[in-house]
Amino acid sequence: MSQKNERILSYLLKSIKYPGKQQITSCLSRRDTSVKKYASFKHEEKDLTAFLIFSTLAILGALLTVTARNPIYSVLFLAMTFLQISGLYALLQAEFIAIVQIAVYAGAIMVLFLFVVMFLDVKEIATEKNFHPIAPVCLILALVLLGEFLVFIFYKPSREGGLSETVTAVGQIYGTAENIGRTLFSQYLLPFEVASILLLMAIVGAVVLAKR
Amino acid sequence: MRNFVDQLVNNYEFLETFPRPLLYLIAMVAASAIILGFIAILVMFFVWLERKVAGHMQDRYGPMEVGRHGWLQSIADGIKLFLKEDIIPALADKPLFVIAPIIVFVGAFSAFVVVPFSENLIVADLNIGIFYILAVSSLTVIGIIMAGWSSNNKWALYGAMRSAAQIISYEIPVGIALLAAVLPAGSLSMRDIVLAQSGGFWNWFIFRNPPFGFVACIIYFVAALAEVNRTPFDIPEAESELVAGYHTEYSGMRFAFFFLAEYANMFLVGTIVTTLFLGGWEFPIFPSAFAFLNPIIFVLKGIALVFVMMWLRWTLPRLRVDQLMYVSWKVLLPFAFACLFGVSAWMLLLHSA
Repeated sequence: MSQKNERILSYLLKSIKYPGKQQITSCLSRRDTSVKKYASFKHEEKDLTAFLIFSTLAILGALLTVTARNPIYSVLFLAMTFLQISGLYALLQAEFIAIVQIAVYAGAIMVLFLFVVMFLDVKEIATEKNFHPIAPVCLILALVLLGEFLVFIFYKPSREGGLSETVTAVGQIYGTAENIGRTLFSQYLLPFEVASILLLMAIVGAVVLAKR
Repeated sequence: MRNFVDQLVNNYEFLETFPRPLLYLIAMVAASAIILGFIAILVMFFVWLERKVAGHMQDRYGPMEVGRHGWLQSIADGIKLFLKEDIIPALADKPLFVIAPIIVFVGAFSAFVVVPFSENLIVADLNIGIFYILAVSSLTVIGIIMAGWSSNNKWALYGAMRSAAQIISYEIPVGIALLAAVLPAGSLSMRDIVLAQSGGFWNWFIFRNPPFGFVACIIYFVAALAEVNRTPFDIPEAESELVAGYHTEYSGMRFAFFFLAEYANMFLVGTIVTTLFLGGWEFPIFPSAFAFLNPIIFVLKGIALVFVMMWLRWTLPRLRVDQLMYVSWKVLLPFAFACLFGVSAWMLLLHSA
């Protein structure tokens, strides 16, 4: 890695906070340590590599989702993006959410998408040179979204611990299935039960419709 | 895995000269390769066993030519599949056609990472182990749909559609029936679930919380049969209707991937039933006296369940599509919910007593 890239990386690390950030920055500064010192291998440096791989592939998948000309490919790239995002969840030590992400989004919802797209028999879209008239509006909306993300990343709230810090702190405590269950059935009991009744209604409705 | 490597380094001084991450990586790759090789060999044995079981049930011998009672038949078949021409249909969607068998294969084999062959013989003891298996095996359906669609063949597409509908429907009773074992164990980790059943066969979850443990085990087994597309639920590849379903257009090595994945999935179902309901690696009586046999017992239990699947295949006729949905939504699902309720009620009663 060149000097410049390293500086950019360490700057990014300063602004983005995720588990083990301190260790990673310290690892970066100690790059020229001997092999002997490697024996005290930091778990976090592996995290950085994994983070870069997952996030790069997630962004790549998202880009390919919108640029693919065949809708089937779009759906499959979206599934790939979901898998990468579940990897990011796993890095945040939210194993339960990571697995739910795979089981629900990549495993079930994407399959239904594929189902629908295949039944519609959509042909490949021919390359279009002209942009759709709505394109400028989309561009503006995208820029607004980008701006919001940038504010989230770089804005330092006055109170102790910014947004991203609280995210990691919560993740380390609540990530496991046990803790999620505990929280859902104590602190958030009412909303949880309301949501489950809603889902139950949907299931009963589906059965009633299927019975006709 | 990390603890194992650390122990190894402590015992053998010369290993300290190598960087630790490299050792971890080598250990991981080696463990995965061992699992892959072991399962692949077991799968070849299952292919041979299926043909033998089928033969004997139909009052014939099955393969007899290659080796004694045809025991080398699978190896001969493997060589044949390797050497066959790899045909990709002209109108197929080439990239998807090529990737699809690999996705199915990976989905089937990566689940074995959390299967506990004995207390310490487990590649990764995830604390969400059983849930991980559900998630990974739900990915195979994407591979199946890719195969069916990219083949550009109506039989293949029909097969893929049926398979997707079937797998998604049966995932629900599977998930709920599993909870009947997860609840009394109080953990999702495969190893903890087995440890919670230690001390003789009366402690196994199939006999606990009667009769709900037993019913849940049966529900899981039936629903899992449907998930791995086995008879009587093999409508996605029904030979008499759809040629061969989603792998109609596949030949040679790519077909072998589907084939291996199917038998690996059967063994996976066998190991999950063993882990969750049949006490995992434990010998039925006096388990501590037979501790040295643990991995062998685990594999034998899995093989016995695979044999039951083969037995069912050559006994029962295939279900129709509407009957298939009927069984899932109107029979298995209500009973699975009843089991979940019953197990919770038992646990509440026993804890308050």
